[in-house]
Amino acid sequence: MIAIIRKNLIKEKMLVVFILMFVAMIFLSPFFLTVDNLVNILLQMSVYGIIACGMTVAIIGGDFDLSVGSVAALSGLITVILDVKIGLVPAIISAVVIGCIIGVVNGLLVSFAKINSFVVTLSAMVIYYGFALKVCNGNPIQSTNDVFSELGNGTLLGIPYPVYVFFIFIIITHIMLTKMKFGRNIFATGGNYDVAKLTGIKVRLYKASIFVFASFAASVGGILLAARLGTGAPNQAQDAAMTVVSAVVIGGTSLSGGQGSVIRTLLGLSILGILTNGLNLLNVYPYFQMALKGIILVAVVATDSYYKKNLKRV
Amino acid sequence: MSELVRNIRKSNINISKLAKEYGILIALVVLVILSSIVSPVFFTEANMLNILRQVSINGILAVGMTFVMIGGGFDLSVGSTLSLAGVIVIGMQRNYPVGVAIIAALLVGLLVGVLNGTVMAVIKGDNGDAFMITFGTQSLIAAMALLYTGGATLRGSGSASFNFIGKGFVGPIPMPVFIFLILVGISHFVLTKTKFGRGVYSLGGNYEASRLSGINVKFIKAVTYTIAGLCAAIAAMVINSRTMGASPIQGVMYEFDAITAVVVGGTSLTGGEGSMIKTLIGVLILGTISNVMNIFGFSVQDQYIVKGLIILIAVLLDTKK
Repeated sequence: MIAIIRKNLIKEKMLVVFILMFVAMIFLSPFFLTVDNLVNILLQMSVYGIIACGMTVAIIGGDFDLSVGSVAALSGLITVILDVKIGLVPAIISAVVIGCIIGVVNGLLVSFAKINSFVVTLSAMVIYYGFALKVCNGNPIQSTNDVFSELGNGTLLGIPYPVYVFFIFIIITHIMLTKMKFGRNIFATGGNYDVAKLTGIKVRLYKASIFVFASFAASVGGILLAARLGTGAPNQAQDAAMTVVSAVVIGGTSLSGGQGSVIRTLLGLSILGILTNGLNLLNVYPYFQMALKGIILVAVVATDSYYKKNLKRV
Repeated sequence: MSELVRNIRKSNINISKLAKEYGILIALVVLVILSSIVSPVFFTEANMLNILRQVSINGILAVGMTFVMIGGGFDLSVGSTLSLAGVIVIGMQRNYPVGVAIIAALLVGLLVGVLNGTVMAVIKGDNGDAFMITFGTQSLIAAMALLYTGGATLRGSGSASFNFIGKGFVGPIPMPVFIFLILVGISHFVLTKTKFGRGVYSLGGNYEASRLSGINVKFIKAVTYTIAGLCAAIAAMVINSRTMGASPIQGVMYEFDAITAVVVGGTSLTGGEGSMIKTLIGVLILGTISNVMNIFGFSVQDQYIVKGLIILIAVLLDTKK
C-alpha cells in the first residue's frame, strides 16, 4: 500500500509541489486564501492559459509553436483595428480566422515541406511580429469599445469572463485529446511518427492540424488580452511562447511528445500562477521572482530528465 | 570514347556534390554581385566595413552557438549572459582598473557556460532539455543582471583602453571585426583539426555511440556550453566599449539571431554536422541582406518580415539536399 502511494507520489511530484505551495502560502500570507485573491490568480492565468491549451496539443503532437506570442499580439491588434470599421463581432471573427490561416501555413510548412518546427515557428514569430508592426505603424492602438473592455474585465457571478473562456478551452481541449479519435491520433503521431504512419494514420494531416489549433488558441488568447488591456500592441505576449512551454513542462508533459494532458498543463499553470501571486503578496522583489522562476524551471526539467534517463524503474 | 564519358560522369557527380556543400556560399556570392549591380553604394570599402562591423557582435555569439549546436544542443541564455557580462564590465570600472573588469566579465561568461554545461552534462540532456534548461538559466542570469544594476542603465566608462575594443582599428580593420574573425579562425581550427573538435561532431551525431567508443561526452558537452558563455562575454566587451554604457536588458533576444545565423549557414538543428565557415557565411548573408534593406530604405517592420522569410528559405534549401 505504502509502495503504491510512494510510487504515485514520485510520479505526480508536481501535484505534491502544488499542494505544498498552496498550503505554504496559506500560512505565509493572510491575503492568500481570500476569494478576491484566488479569483485574481485565475484571471492572471487565463490569457496564457488559453494559449497553453494550444501549446499542449502541439507538444503532445511532437512539436512546438514559437509563434504563439506574435499571433496573439497580431490578433489583438487586428480586432481593435477592425472593430471600428466593421463592428466588434466581425472583427473578432476575422482575427480568429487570420490566426487559423497562420496556423495552416505553419502546419503545411512543417508537415508537408518537412521543415523543422523550431525554424518554421521561429520565422513565423519574426514575420508576424513584422506584420503586427506594419498594421499599427509601430504604435499601440487604443480600443474605444466599452463592450470589448467589458469582455476583458467584466464579471459574471463574480468570475471574470476570461476565466470562463479559459475553462471552456480546457474542457474542449481535454475532451478532444481524450475522447476523440482526433486526439488519439495526435498522441500516436507525437509518440512515434513513423510507426503511426505505418498503422495508417494520416500523420501529415494531424501534424499540420496541431499548428492550426495552437494558432487558434493563441488568437483567442490575444483577443482577450487586448480586451483586458483595452489596447492592441505589437509587443504584447512576447514571452508567451516560452512561458507557456514552461507551464506545460512543469505540469509534467514531456517535450518529446506522445504523452501528456491538458490537465497537467493546468497544474503547471497553477504552480506558476501561485508562485507569481505568492511572491507578489510576500513583496518579493520582481527580479528575485524572475531568478526564482528560472531556477525552478531548470530544477524541474533537470530532475525530470534525470529520472527518465537514469532511473528506469520509476 | 567510353573512357571520356566515364570521366564526364565522374566529374558531374563531383559538381553536384560541390553545389550541395557550398550552395550557401554561392548564394552569398550571387547576393553580393546582385547588390553591387543594383546599388552603387554597396560595394564600397565604407559599406563593406559597415556590414562587417554590424555583424561582428552576432557573429561572435554565433561562433559559440555553433559549438553548442554541432554538439547537439541549444543555448538560449547567451543573450542574458551578454547583458550580465556587459553590466559587470562597465559597473566594475568604477572601482577597479579596466583589466580587472574585463577579466571579471569574461569569467562571468565562462561560469554561466560552465553552469549550463554541467547541468546538461549531468542529466545527459537532449535537444529539448537544452531548450528548457537554457531558458531557465536565461531567466536567472537576466535577473542577476537586473539585480546588479537595480534595473538602471549604467553610464560608462571613459577609459580609452577599454573603448579601443569597440572603436579601435587594427590596420584598416575595425577591432570588433578583428576579434570576430580571429575567433572564427581559432574555432574553425579547433573544430576541424583537434581531437576535441572531432569529439563535438561525434557527440552531436550520436551521443551513445560516442560514449561507448570512449569519448568523454560529458566533458565535451560541458565545454561547448562554456565556449558559448565565453563568446557571449566577449561580444559584450565589444558592444559596451562602443556604447560606453550598459543596459541590463541589452542582450534580450540576441540568442535567436545567433541561432538564425547558424541555421542559415547550414548547420543542422539536430547536431553532428555543420562548420564554422558555414556559420560565417550565414552571418554574412544576414548582414548583407540587412545592409541592402537599409540602403533601399526598407522599414523596420518589412525587415522583420524579410528576415523571417530568409530563415525559411535557407532551411528549405538545406532540406532539399
